[in-house]
Amino acid sequence: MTPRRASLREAAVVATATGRSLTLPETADLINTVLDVARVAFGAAACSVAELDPVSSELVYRSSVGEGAAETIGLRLPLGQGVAGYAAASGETIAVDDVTHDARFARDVAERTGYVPRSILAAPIMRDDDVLGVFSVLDRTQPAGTAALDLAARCARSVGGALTLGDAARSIGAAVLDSVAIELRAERPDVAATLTALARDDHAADDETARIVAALAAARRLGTAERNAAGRMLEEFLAYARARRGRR
Amino acid sequence: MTAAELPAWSDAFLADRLGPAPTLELPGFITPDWAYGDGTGAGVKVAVIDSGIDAAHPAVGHVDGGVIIEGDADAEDGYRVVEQEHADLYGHGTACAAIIRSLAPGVELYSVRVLGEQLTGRARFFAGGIDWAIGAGMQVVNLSLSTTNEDWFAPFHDLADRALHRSVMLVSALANEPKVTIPSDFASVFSVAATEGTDPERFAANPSPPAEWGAIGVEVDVAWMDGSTVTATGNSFAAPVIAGLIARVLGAHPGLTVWQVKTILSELAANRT
Repeated sequence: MTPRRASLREAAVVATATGRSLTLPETADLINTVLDVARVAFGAAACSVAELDPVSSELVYRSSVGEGAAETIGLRLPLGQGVAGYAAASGETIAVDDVTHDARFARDVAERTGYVPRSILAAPIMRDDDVLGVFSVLDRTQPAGTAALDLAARCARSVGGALTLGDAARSIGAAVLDSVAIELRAERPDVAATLTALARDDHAADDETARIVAALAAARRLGTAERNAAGRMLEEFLAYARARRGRR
Repeated sequence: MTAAELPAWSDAFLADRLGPAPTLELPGFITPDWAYGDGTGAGVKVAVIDSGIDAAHPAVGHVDGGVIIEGDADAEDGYRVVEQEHADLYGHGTACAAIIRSLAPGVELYSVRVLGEQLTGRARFFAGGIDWAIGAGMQVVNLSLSTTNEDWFAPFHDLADRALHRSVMLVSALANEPKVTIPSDFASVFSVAATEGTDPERFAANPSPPAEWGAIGVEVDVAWMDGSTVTATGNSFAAPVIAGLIARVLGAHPGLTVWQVKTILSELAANRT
């Protein structure tokens, strides 16, 4: 067996092994499930997750359930203001139970959502010591006292876990795509370029059917088992890539 | 035996070098009247390491000085200290300062702003704030912040020891995390969690730390942005209660060590039997 075939076989084994891990539940679904449960547990008007955009230094609301949810998603809150901003900057969980007297409490943001809360509970979403975002609860009715802070911190950890799993799946997928692209670079530069583009999340190449055909054509010179494995592998990759694009 | 013949560190105990032991003139039982004196904390320097302090807030009164700790890639420690007046970005530092002022109106307040828009390397700025406070002669340091990054265990431990050896009281809120929280888990630090209640003098001492002190911090009215007041909950509002009470004790009894102040607070705790 040539080194290239051996490498492709290894890649196929990796793809088979990682296939299931690459088809994780959608990160957004996991987060929305946490938010749905949290809203019930807190008896709250709304729960949301804002992710940190490190480029713009803004908190971007990606997920929200409850009052004003549709209007909340996509909102951007500059760091350096608001209760959620404090949670992100400090890494501490905080509950402001009556914000109506706070003149600068990002009221414009709240009014854009059509819902102005009386109370906000905000917990930082952390990975090690880095802030990924903020989990917020608006107008909770329970639990009393510091139990609410503990519960919010737990919810934030769950969201952080979902975000980390999603990132891990993307990283593994990109690494496998890259490694296969390197193997195909000499014989099928077009397929290799497509896979590399996918690994870098390039949206330019989107003719997936053509890519599958080209890849299968490239695999014709392989043995039957390798060809079938490589074909399955590429289909997995492309399904994964489609799902990844769908998440964005 | 001469100093040269003694093992390292022992020369400090030679008769002509050894100063008087830290004194604690007890009146019998330790009472609030004795411990707190006039209750003003007059002249005690208190640093609030946080988001800044709004000096114009009526509940703060005035601020005696302040620095901003900000990132500087060219600096050896990755940050620089900028000495200048500054606003409070979030309201939280003002809340802490006002709590301290309400309990010890005579203290000198200093703002050390470490929270900003730069979120990476936050622990470096927290450490920089403590380092500045120790060097600037602060006697009480309120830190409603912590890190769970164990890479910072040793540097913060070094800072906590330096503070201890200079009788600087580090008061730190516990985080709502099951992990080790640095530096609030350290033995020499006054680590504080929030409890329900309305009387700041009714704090509790936990015989099983690291959550060593419990003080009011649930649905408490606190100063906030633009002269406003909000109702808030968090360990970070309990820490300045303990910081304010410590300032009272130091105002009445200058020069106490960290362990002496811990002993006094334990005697004043609401759960003292």
